[in-house]
Formats: sequence, C-alpha cells, structure tokens
Amino acid sequence: MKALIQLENVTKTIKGKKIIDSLNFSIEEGEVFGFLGPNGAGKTTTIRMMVGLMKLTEGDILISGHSIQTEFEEAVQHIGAIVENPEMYKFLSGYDNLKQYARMHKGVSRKRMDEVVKLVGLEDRIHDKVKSYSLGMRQRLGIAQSLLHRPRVLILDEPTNGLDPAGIKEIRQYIRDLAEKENMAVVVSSHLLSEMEMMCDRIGILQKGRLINVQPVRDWMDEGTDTYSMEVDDVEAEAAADFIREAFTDIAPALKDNRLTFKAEKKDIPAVIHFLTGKGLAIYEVKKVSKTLEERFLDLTETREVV
Amino acid sequence: MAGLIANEWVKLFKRPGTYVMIGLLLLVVCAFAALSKYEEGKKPEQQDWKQIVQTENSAYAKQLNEQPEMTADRKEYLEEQIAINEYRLAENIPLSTSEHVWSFVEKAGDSLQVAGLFMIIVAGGIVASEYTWGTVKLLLIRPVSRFRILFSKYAAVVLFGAFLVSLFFLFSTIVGAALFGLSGEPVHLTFVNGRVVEQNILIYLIKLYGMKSVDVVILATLAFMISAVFRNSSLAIGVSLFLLFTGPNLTYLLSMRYEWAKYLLFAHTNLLQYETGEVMVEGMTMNFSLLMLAAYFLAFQFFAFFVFAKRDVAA
Repeated sequence: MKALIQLENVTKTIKGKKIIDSLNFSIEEGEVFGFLGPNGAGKTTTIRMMVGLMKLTEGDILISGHSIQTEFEEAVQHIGAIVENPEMYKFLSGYDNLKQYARMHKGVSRKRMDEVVKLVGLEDRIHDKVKSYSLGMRQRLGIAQSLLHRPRVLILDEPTNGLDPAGIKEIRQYIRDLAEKENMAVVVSSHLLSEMEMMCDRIGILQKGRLINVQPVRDWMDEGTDTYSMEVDDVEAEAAADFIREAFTDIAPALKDNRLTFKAEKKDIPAVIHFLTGKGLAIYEVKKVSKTLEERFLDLTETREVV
Repeated sequence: MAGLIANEWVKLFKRPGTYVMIGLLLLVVCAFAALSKYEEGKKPEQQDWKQIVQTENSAYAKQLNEQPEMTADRKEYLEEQIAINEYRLAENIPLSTSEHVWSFVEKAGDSLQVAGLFMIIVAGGIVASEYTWGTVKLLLIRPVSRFRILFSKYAAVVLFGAFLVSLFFLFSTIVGAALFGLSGEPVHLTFVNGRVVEQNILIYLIKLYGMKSVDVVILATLAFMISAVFRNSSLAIGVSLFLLFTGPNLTYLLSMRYEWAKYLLFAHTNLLQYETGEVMVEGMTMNFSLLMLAAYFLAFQFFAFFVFAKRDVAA
C-alpha cells in the first residue's frame, strides 16, 4: 500500500485563530476516506488546503509524494476534485465546460471526454447549457470534470448532495469502483453518516480543527457490545431478569414493565434465549436497539467537547 | 498558454453581453456617420482649398507673433504646421475640403473611448466573475500556476481590446467609404527631422488610433487590477470608468496649480499632447510620459499578480 495523500502537521491560522490544528494522517491508494465533522469543524478548509486553494500556515501536504506548496503543478495534476458545490460556467454547455478543463491538462483526448460523459450518464444532455441542468446533473458534470485527467486522488466534497436515491446509489458504487479497480485514493466529506458508512473504508472525525478520531468503518459498525431489548411475559419479567443475572454475570438487565434491556455481545444472545426458554419462559421478541452511527458520532464529538 | 487564452476567449464569446457590446460599438459608428453626413449637407459652398490653407497660415503666424511667451513645443508645432501648409501649396497637394473616408475615420477616432469602455468592462469582470460564479475553485486546481492563469486573462483582455479597436477602425472605414466615397488624397503630410514628408494616410490613422488607445489600455489594466485584488467587478468597472472620463480634466485642473501633477497618471495618457505641443505640465517630454506610463502599468500588474497568487480562495 502506498500513501497517496499525506498530511504532516497541517495547521492553518486565520487572524490569530487556529482553524486547523496539527493534522497528521495519510490516505492510501485503493482507499475511500470519509471526512466527518460538524459544520465549522474545518472540513472544507482542510480540503481547500489539499487542493492548493488555501495556503498552509504550518506543515505540508504531499500528493503522490509532491508537496502542494513547493511543487504545486506536479502535485495537483494527480488530483481531481469538487470543492463544495460543483459550480460550472452556466452559459456554456456541459461539453464546453469539460473542454475548458481538458485544455488545462495534458493528454485529455476527445475520446476520454466522451468516456467520462458516458460514465456519469450525461450523454443525452451534455450539449445543453449547464443553466438548464438540475443539481443532480451538475453534480454528475462535476464528477466528470474531476475524472477527466485520470487523477490518482479524488477529492469530493458532499458528492451525493442533490442526487436522488438512485443517483446516490450509483455514485456510491462508482466511488467504490474507482478505489477498488482503479486503485485511486478517494476523499469524501459528508454530513450524512449513513452515506459514509456505506462508502468509506475509514472515517476521520474532525472537530474544532483537530482530528479526534480515525477508525475503519467496520469498527464503527460493530463496536462489540450492543444494547438489546427483550419482551417477556408480564408476570415472568422479574424472574427472567434474575435468571439472567445469575447465569450471565457480565449482563445486567434493566427491567421496565415487560421489557428487559441489557448490554451484551451479539454472540451471547442465542445462549441467553436458549437459557430462558430452557427455564420455560416465553420470549416474544428480542431486538437490537443499537445506536445509530449518528448517535455514536454525537457521543464522540460531545464527550470530546467537554474534555 | 494558447489553450488558456482560448478558454478565456470562449467564455467571452459564449455570453450574449459580448455581442451587445459589439453591436453598440457598430451602432456608435453608424450614428456618428449619420451625424457627419447630415452636417455635411448643411455646410455652405466649399471654398478654394488654397484660400483655406493661406488663412490658416496667417492665423498661425499671428499667434506666433502675438504670444511670445508660448512654450517651445507649441512654437515648434505652429512652425511645423506653417511649413506643412507651404509644402502643400508648393507641391499642389489639395486639402480635401469635403468629407471623405479617411477624414471620417480620423474624426470617428474621437469615439474610440466607447471601445475603451467595453474593454474596461471586460477587464473588470474577467477575474471577479470567476469568484462570483464560484468557478474560480475549479479553475485554480489545475496543473497551471496562478501566474499563468492571470496572465492568460490579461492577454485575453488585451486581445479583446485590440479586436474592438480593429473592428471600430474597419467598420468606420467601410461606413465612411459607403457614405462619403473613396475620394480624397490618401496622403498625410507630416514633419519628420525638420522636413515635410508625405505619409500614407493609413499609417497615420493607425498611429492615431494607437495613441488614442493608450489611456484605455492603462485604465483597463487598472480595472483588471481592482478585479483581481478586490474580486468585485462593479468596483473595478465603476472606478475605472469614472477615471476614464474625469481623470484628464481633474489632472488638468491640478496641473494649473501644482507642479507635482506631472506625476499623476492622467498627465500622460494623452500622448497626442506631444504632437500639438500643448503639454499638461511644462517640461514634460514624450520619454518622461512613457516612463511614467510604464511605472503605473507595472505597479498595477504587480499588485494584481501578487495578490492573486497569494490569496486564499474561500469563495
């Protein structure tokens, strides 16, 4: 694995205020990295520094080994990006927009342009003025523009913004393909956590300009113990709670009406059910009341805020 | 670089506003031609050209005699005019008394500021619009330095200005020829190295248009700088147009009282002042003016490029 994006001690100070504070991480080829954080956390600022729109106060960003500060042209030629909204020249057709960018890169042929247009599914409308495009179509054109020069690094700010569910699914699949088949490093930012979880390999959480957590998505998904809720018979509820306490020392069920709520690992659940039915108790329902990614995300950011 | 300039050109000519500008420019030429034609019809019977030239010369001579305090430049100019007129009489080169195509093109040059106005509008918008449209972000993440991006934009502005002036020249030639005919001597008399020489009128007119474009180019550069530095096209266009129309007059007022007025930009934008010898501040020379213009030009460019290259793009 080769790191295509390396952030080294990246710091940005604007008017004496540290907007971004010593970011250190790298993104490898074939990886989709999600950038997560509340508004104002510095996601866009970090992305702007990665693509050279903003200068770094301290540190450096290397793209495929080239410094964005001292070797801008070498570094940026490996990047395809959409920063915030995909704003295009509205008075030009989609195709003319692509031509603008094709002229600024080496070796973008007409064939390649047709290829990316087909890839994002804009063949039918590409010769219409961008003025007449829906937000989703502009987003597609934005992605087409970012892929034109076959970059090794793709940076997409809110790539699914404005797309319909079918479009979102398509783009998501597309991003996965780019990472897996073309071995690109992809950075996406989004406020939709469910989106992130389906697209990304790793998620980094940014808060108040600091990277407070980077972890593989898998770890987010199964965090070990989950909370389960079990519905039993009214009269048997108390007995059931006691049975569990006795048999499983590390499970502490809380009782409310006819429901037991407890934290347990997934692998222990069959044993619990088996045990209770063995005691002749009726179980009507067992369900996981797992926290959504959102809740966990909020937990994480809120607790850090207190610290 | 050619690709970058092509990009700017496409962006310019895919917008209807550009065609409105071109249309208005052509309209101004037509209106000017119509007015000239109308006035020509009202003019009384033509006098003999020799008589006109002689009257002119006696007027010049009278000025020379009665105003001994006039500047050396002015004196030289009047003496040159007298010499040219005498040459005209001696060689029997008639002074065209009626309007003809070249006299029209020469007169139309007074409206050349309309082309300047449009050039300033384009210069004021070319950087600021990218910020307004939000497209600056996609523009600056290409493997092209910001210096080259800005340079291509300035080149596009200059090309557009040259295009407008050429169009103006060409169109007024066509309209002039159609309305006033191709008659008239294609000869311009001028004074070179102490001698009167015959010059092709076309060369004279191109030189005249070039001289008249100086203020426009420098103000377009100012608009370009404001556009790049403040990212605000209204400000860029407003300030530059205000100065285009009031700058020379304000400078003239200042020059009557203060010597330092000769360091102001508008003391130098009219290079034709050295032809007639009526200079804004006494003692200024053509070389001094060219130096001052170059200094202002470089200062504007320096600010534009410095700020554009350094700035964080957060639009």
